[in-house]
Amino acid sequence: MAATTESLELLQGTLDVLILKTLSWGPRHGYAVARWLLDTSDDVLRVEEGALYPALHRLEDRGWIESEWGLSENNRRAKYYQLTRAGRQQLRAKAGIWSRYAAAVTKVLAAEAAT
Amino acid sequence: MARLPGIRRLFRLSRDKRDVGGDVDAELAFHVDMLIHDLVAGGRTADEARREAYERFGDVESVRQRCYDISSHREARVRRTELLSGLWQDVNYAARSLRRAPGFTVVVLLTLALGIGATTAMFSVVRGVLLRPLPYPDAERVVRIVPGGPGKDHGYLSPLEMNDWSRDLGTFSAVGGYRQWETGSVYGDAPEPIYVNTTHVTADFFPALGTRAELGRTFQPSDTVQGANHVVVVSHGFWERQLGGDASAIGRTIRLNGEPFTLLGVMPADFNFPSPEAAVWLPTSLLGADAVGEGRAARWMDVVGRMKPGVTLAQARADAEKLEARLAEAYPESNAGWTDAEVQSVRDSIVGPVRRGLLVLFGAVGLVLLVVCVNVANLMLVRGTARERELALRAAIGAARSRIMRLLLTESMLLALAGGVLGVLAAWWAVNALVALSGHYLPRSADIRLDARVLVFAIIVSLLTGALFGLWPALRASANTTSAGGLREDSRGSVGSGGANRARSLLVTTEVALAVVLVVGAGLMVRSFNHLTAADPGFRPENVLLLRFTFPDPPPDAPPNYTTEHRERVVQRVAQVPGVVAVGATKIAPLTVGTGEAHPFTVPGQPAPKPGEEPQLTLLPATPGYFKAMGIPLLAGQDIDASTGDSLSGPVAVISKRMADAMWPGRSPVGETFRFGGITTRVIGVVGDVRSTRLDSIGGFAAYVPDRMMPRSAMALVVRTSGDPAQLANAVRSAIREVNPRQAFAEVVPFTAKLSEAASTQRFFTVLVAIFGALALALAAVGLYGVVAYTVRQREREMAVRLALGAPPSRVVALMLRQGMTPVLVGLAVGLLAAVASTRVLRSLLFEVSASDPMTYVVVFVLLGAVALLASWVPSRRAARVAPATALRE
Repeated sequence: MAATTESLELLQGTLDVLILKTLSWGPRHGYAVARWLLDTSDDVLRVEEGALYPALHRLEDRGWIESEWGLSENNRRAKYYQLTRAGRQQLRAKAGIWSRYAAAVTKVLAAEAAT
Repeated sequence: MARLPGIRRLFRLSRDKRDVGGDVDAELAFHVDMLIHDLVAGGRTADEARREAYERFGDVESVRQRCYDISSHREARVRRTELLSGLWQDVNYAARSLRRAPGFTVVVLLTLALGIGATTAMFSVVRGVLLRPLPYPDAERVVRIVPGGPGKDHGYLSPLEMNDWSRDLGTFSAVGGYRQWETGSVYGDAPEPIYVNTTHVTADFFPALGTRAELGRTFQPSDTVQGANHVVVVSHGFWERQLGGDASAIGRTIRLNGEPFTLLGVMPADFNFPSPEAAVWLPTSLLGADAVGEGRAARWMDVVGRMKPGVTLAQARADAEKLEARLAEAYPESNAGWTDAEVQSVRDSIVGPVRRGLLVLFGAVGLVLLVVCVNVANLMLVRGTARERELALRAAIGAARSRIMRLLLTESMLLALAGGVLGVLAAWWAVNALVALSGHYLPRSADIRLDARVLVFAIIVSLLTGALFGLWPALRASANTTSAGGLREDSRGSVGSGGANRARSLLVTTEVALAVVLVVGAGLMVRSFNHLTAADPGFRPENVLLLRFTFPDPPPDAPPNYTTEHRERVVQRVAQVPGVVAVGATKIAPLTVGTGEAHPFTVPGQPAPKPGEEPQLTLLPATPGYFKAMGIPLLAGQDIDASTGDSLSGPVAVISKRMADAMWPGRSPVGETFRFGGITTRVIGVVGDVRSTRLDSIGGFAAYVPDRMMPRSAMALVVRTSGDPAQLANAVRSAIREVNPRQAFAEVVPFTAKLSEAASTQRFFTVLVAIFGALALALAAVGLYGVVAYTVRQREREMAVRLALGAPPSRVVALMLRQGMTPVLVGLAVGLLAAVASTRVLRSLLFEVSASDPMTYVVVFVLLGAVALLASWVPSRRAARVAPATALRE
């Protein structure tokens, strides 16, 4: 439990980039974002709703995504988010950092196992 | 743009205010519902699904709150940006459209700059003189107290009385006495010693004013006792000019009248009591009985006091009068009848005489600003009509009326603020000109400047002006567009909507009426000023040089006739200077620093008046040749000559015509006698009356006695010259220094300068009112011209038709003239009535002119009528010159 709390900050940054990635294929509402993350990560990344919605609003506040009300697949009013141009740039930048970071961590961990 | 505002915002499509709270709720509810829906689809019962969904979601309320905070913050920011960019857009648009109409813009800006500039400059004066606090702590508690005795309108206190007043007035925290002497001390060494304006003060003088020294200290009670009282406090200006602004000067010894004084302190630069000329302050205890007399009746001190907090002027006055009553009882022979006291705030005592004039001027400039507003409103109306199509088009493609109004008002405000900036620049220049014009005789003129508050005033005035001249035209213009008439109407062929013409007529009427009030006021003031400067002062000031100075104290071993002979030697020596036609001397020359010495008198053989009701005369010494040098005509009898006034001939006097006519009506007073101060004096001649203190009045009765009968240390020497008197100034000065080697001079000027000075306050008011009147007249003429010219252009086709059908051109011109002049005549009538009602405020400022002077009204009526006729005739002529064929074909 303590470990999870410690990694919260990291998780937050992670969540932002994951949301941006999710939206890179087109507008989605919040529920769809959550579902998509869950499905794609084979249920590993369960995003807490408590963190997802504030994150969406924050990203909108920063101008990386924008929202508009529309109709959902089952004909209900739902708030759709989509990437802005600034959001797309942000995603490219963050994704690059993440890949290098992950690769580096993996490499270090692998090297340790070899000695 | 880093943050795109969203597609709806981008295109400015109308949209209701976003309900941030509702949005968040709906969004979260949708999520939960979807979750439940999926869980049910996965096989849960509805209840289970609901429970699990909420469990997974966690603390809904906290999530909601966080989302709400972020979004509402963002919403507010977006709205702000939108408003600013909307405003910016309007300003940009307004600026562009003003640039497209440079003629209109320039005329409006100049008009506004005139109005706002004049108002701002006038406000600087009002603020500096009337509003800015005096430089004393709690200045509203500082008052002057004027004790009143029998037959005196301005009483002083003796040092003995002063002691009682300082000690016994319970409503005051300090009461001090002072006396200012223009030529009180001589400072510096030969050959050019100077007079230093000196104020003798009691120990409580500085505490009453409450101002602390800038360097060193002011007097303490111990500084005023005999033996320790050779101490001096100097003004900031004296310290800078004479002591080089040296901070280590405190404690140094400076020499005044040849005696050493220890410098105790330097006052701050803004401390200027009793007057801006005050240079040094000395203890009153330095003045011996030979200078000011002694005893309770030797009254020579002015009084200044600091009231305790919460005390009113009336309470202070009652307190002072109670004390006076007590003193009158205790010392009847010196104090009987001294039972009045006047208590006035120091501010009133300084600026009281000019307050009314300044407020009238401020009112006048306010009227000028109104005329400016009306004029600009008129131009805006004309422009609004010309733009009807453009605005109608905007309305047709969906601009709301409020949006169009906002656009037009932005334009007005932009004009007003730009006009305000120009106006402040104009005011900055005008304030200096005003101070120069006031000739520094306007009290507190040193306090007049453009400061932050004046700038705030200018901004507020600009905005109000913008609202005033912009609102109505904007309302009208935007109302027209909503009827969509603008697009349909063929504006070229029509006469213009009836409403717009009525509006313009109304504005012309207003403008003319305002102009009439101002021009009548200006006319009255100018006539009054002409009377004043044309008034015969009773002497001929041309080619006369005036020198004012005080003789040094005679040496202790001087013979009894020392002063008399000294004065005679000075006069004789100056008479020998080449270019001098006549020389004479008195104690106080007319229009300089007060009058002669006042004495009650009686005429033997005539019924004696009740004690305390005797007529008063002012006594002045005159050397032989004084009347000749001054150009005061001798009407009867003989002049004072070298032999009169010696011990053999007995006391004799030359009296003024007014005194002769009043006391010996219908017969010659020569050879008659009158008595004053126990002396029976024989009248040997009569001279003309002299305006001795003010140009607008002849003082009371004057009696001139031979100089040797009344030798005084103060001398006013008048020198009539054959050429320019200023050229002889140096020669006369050195001639006097041959007799009195270290003589300093208070003033050496051509006498005409004193007359100009005496009229300076009147001149200040008159010039300003005249300027305001001229401005109003010019603005009204320009406004009228614009309206008539516009109407003519609008009705060109109609005129063409009339001309084509055979109407003579003169008829067409007459038609236009009639239309232009109708609102003018209404305005003239309204204005004349308003002038009768409002120029009453001028009554106290006028000299020998009635506020309802018919001459002025007739001249103003004719003048304004003529100007208006010209202003409408010039553009009307164009109507007759319309070439029918061209106008109709167009």
